[in-house]
Amino acid sequence: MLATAQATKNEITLKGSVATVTAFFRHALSSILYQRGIYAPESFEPVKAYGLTVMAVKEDKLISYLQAVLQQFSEWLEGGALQKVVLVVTGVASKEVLERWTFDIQTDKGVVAGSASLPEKAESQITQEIQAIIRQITASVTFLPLLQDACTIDLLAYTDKENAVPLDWEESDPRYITGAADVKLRAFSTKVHNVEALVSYKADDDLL
Amino acid sequence: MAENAAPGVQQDWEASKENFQPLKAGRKATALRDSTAELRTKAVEERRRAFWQELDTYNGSDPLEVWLRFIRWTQDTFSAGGHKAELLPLLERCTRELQAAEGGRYRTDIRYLRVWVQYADCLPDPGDVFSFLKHHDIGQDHALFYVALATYLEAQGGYASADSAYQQGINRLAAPLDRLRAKFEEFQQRMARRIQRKAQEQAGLDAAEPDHPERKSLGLLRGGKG
Amino acid sequence: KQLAANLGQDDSARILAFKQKAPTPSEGFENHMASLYSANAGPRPKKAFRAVPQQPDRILDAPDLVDDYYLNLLDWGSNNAVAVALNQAVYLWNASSGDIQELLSAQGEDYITSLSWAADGKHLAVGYSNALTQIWDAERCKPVRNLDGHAARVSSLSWNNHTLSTGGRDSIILNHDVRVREHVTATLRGHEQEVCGLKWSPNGTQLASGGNDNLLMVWDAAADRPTHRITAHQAAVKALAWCPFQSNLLATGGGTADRTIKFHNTHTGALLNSIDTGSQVCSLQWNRHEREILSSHGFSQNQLCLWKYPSMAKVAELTGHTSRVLHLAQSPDGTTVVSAAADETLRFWRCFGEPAGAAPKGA
Repeated sequence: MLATAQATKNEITLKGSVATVTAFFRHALSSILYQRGIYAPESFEPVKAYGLTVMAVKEDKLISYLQAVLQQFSEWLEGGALQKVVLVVTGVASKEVLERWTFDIQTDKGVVAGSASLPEKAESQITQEIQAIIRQITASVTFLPLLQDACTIDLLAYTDKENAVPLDWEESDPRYITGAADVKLRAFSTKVHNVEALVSYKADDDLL
Repeated sequence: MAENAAPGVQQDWEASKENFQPLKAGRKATALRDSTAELRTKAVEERRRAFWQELDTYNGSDPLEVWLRFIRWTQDTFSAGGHKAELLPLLERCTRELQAAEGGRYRTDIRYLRVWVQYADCLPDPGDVFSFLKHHDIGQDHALFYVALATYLEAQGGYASADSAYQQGINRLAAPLDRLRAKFEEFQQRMARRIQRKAQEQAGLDAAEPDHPERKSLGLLRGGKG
Repeated sequence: KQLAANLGQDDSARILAFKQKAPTPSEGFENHMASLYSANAGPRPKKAFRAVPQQPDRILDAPDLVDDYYLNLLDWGSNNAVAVALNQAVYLWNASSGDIQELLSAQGEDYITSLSWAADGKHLAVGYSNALTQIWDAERCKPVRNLDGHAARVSSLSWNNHTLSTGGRDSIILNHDVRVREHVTATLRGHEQEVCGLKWSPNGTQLASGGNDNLLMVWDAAADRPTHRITAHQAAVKALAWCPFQSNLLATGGGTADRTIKFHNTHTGALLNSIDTGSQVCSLQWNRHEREILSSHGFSQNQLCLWKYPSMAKVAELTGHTSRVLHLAQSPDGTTVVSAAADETLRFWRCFGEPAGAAPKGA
């Protein structure tokens, strides 16, 4: 940790920040899909990222699905319109929402508008913050229940009201879990975008 | 206990992640504190004694409720699942003692079956547990029984028995039937793929390298001694 | 505020869902994480390649052994004494005579977090929860040195001649030259969380360290930066074992979310092999007489596994412990392994057989 404190600070551009946050979502979402056993392990491969080995999606259909979502995320991020990303995990048979991974996003609107001076932050510092979140996702088996039945995923985006709805997206309810347990995970910040992670899950004894 | 003094320390659960055994039902955030230090104190001993006393003197209508709280507390407190092997004897005793509960009132209670299944999950070979439940007609109307039994049988390689376990449950209209049917379907698909895979393996049996690690090493061993 | 944002309605936001459905998981879904949650994970090995005694030779009670994955509380010295820390006290069990002796007892709230015999079989290093490390003269039952420098508990120790390396919950590793007054000769930074595994290679040229940050590092003796920073494990790395018959070969074991044993070439940093054991790996010991490695495990089966190297075929499974098997140590002659488990017993297993050339024992 001391080593990075002395690292050189970089100017964070809007584009740079969008790229960082989008890449984070790619890795975080892939890690969740793997660690929660939602897709078979054959759909993933280990890659190096953030000084860690993370599980990345390698199955074509899954890649293009994520790619399409991430493309839209990055457009929204660039316009400062993305407030929240939610990964919803639903039981196929029961249609019940079992898990909800939330990423709250705060944006420096000044940078988006081009009116504020660019903030500075060391790249290594950002990497380290992201590393910590990815590690927590990997370790989440510590408290998350076993997903015993086949599950599907949905991705939700909370966007500013004044933004138009893209063709591939539709309005949705928030898909909350009744009686959920929450564990707040770590956050990272590029100083343009600040992302806070949280997981909500069903933690009833009747889940056995 | 001395804590990491570095700034921005990881949350406690993460610093102790290896001291939490995964639970099928998960753990709540409040139960995510490292209790290894507490285990060395008297408070834990006292709490345990209080539970036993509550069970001894209980005269309400639902002793199972006390047991469930006791079991949950044990899982939360002995989070590594190891210390003195706390949980297993507790599950054993709960399942045994409540068998005789008035008129077999828990025979059809899903909560009681859950304790049994948790017990079975702690045993490397719980075959006898499932036979016992069947013989005593405990939990036989719940899909959970058949799913748990079939999962165990499948893991042991008893595919035909697993198949028949699912069918028995469906014939009995065990609830929820949807879930049971869905699990059966998934099982059948796995079996189909397994048969396919076996056929492929059979076809490629001439391959120079046998893909069984056990065979490989047997050769090595013989080579080493010869 | 977080809670409100999470539960409450965001009037300023529009909630959108991606219309395209995510690919459906493959048919015949089976959560590959399920084995983590159950004890009945699969069939036992039926074949054994070598007669391995399945029963422990001896069982000793170890009351109050702390059930904490990150600690290192067992070691077997060249003097044939097994040292074990039970909460606040360190006991020595003389394997030749069977005598038991209490070497020391910590004060107040403090407890023992690690111990390690020096090669001379006379000095025992002891790490404490209060961040102190002490060296004890086991023959005279006296502390001979206090080594400070850590800011949190000292979870791992390893000797290399006059150097004692200590790893702490403060995520640093200190090298101490135990002969000199200013004993800290190096501070090794690189880990980001507790250093729970620490082992010098038998030839003393490389130090391997493992942490709760899932990292494995290999340090050259004179360097203060890691030669290799290996990210292959997906959980804490506590189990470390250097191969006795091939220098540069290191075996490592991962925690709950990882469950693998991995083999590394510590010259190149290359990963040579990895196998999924199905449960938390707590400790590893190489057999010096056969090309075999023994692993000890946590939930779900609390067993010891003997593996052929390099095929990693399972030679034997040793069961009996009813809780996770946190520590292993082997006898000076390399025939016997002692295991310490959270069920508060020590068990002795003659699973490594006789040294080559020794007459085989009658059945």
